[in-house]
Amino acid sequence: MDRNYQSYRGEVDIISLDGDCLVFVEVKARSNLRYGRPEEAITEKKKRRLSYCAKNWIYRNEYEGSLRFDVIAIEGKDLRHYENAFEPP
Amino acid sequence: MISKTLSGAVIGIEAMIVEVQCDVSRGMPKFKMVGLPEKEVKESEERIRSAIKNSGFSFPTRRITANLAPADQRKEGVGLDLPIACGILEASEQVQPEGMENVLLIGELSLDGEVRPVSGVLPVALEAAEKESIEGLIVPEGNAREAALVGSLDVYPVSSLTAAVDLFQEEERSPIHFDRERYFELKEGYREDFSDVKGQQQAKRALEIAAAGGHNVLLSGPPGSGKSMLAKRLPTILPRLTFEEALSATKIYSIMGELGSDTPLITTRQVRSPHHTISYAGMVGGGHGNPSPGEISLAHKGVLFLDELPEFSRKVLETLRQPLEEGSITIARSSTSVRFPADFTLIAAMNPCPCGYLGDPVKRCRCRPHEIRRYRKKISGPFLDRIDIFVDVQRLKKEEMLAKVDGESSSQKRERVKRGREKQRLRFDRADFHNSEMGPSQVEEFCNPESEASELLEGAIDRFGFSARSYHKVLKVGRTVADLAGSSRIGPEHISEAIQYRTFKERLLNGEGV
Repeated sequence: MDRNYQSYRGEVDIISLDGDCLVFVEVKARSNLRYGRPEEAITEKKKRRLSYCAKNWIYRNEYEGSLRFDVIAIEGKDLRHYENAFEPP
Repeated sequence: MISKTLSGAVIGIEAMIVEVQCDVSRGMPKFKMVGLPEKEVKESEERIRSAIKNSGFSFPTRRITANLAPADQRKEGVGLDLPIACGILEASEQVQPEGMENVLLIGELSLDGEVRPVSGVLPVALEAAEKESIEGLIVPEGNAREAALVGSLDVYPVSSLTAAVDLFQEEERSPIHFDRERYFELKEGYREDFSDVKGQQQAKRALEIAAAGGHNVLLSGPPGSGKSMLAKRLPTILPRLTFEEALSATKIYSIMGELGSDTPLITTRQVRSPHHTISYAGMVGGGHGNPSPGEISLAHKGVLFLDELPEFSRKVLETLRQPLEEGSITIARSSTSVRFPADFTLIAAMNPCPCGYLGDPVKRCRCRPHEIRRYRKKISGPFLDRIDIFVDVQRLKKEEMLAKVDGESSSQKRERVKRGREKQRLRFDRADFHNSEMGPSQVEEFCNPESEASELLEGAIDRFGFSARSYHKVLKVGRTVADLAGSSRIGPEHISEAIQYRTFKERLLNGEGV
């Protein structure tokens, strides 16, 4: 649906549709683990930003329906996809 | 979509019917619970989430609001897990219920979707039975027979969330069958019997009088003389519980979660013997949040046995005064006040002195006089005033110890107690009123000793320095002794026995050696 959607308070990497469910995806990559795993970088602050962005997108596009937040973590060649990774805080 | 399911929660000893309303709507995924849920109810979110997933359903990624009506009452207990989960499934249209408006649900969920037994099912069931709109109950399997005690409701036991959902969708449901009267008949009976106790004729006789007239007893004697053995056998000679009495006792055990799935009903009079380190709240009830019943309420319609009476904290003993007078305890909070039933017979036991051997024919007492005084002073006068019968339990003699078990069985004693109670029932025209509860005017009316007996009593007043209260107590016990003998008059033989149970107290209070 959209990529790198930017709003006043942040950015969503991927917005897509899975069946009839709108999915906001945050992609996090790490080339090394010096700063921890990619999943750990999804902080409360990041979640707030994402949910703000999501609301913004929904409003602008007049979307009505269910939605969820996914996280894709990339670690070297490893890719992990978390469906419904969190609920907006 | 909005769903409504019925459930219940316990407040004090009563229950309230809770309407669980669930709304699943569009919006940011979020689960919000309102309606004053306490901590354990709030935590149910995580259990419900996992249970729904692990039962093969999906937890909606939508905005979920659960409201527990009436919204101004605090909800405690984990029994709301199941109705909330079912409500969410219904509101998210994963389940189409069939005629569930009249069915109440209760049960705790585990993460894998199993339904676990909860406490307080009986009070909820009793409350539900009073509502005309409620016809059935869905309860955890372990609580099924407990819920069926109510009789007028259909009970459907479930072991898992899936089973509950299946039940939801069925048009024909078959409730469990539980014959409560028959269960009550079958399970009445005690393992103990008075014939187990060797010797101790005087103490046995005193307990018989206590059973007949509802008197409280203090047993004093050296360690190992059989005080607790005697106390544990008092229920065996008390009249049988009626079904209603059993139900009122069971209600308290249900709230405390002390009913196993194999004992849905308390069929016998219980003996509670709390340790002397018990706290004030443990004894009379209380605690955080909604007050919960204490030991005295668990002893409702049974026996409260306080071993090592002087070791109990003074505050704990003083709080027993209200229940001893009124048969109930009121716990007042700034927001609520609850009344727990606590109608019990008190049996207290103590050693005559700190080492326990004062007055013992064989072992020597090693206590100093001031130690003995201090030990006895720990029990307050007003507390001892609630006790009618004082008995000195002596250590068994060698011959008594070696003798084969003999003596009267409990059933023989119980027959006499029954006769004594029948006399009281005719006298007061009430089944639940006993000689020990007589007020001054009733003592005046019903306790008129014969002239010879009066003389005997006068002599005792002079000799032992009886107070007016002691005098009344002697008359009441005398009345019971006469009732036991089937006599309408109070003769000298009855009064002299009653005096005997009193003199020991006077000596105890005055701190004399026994």
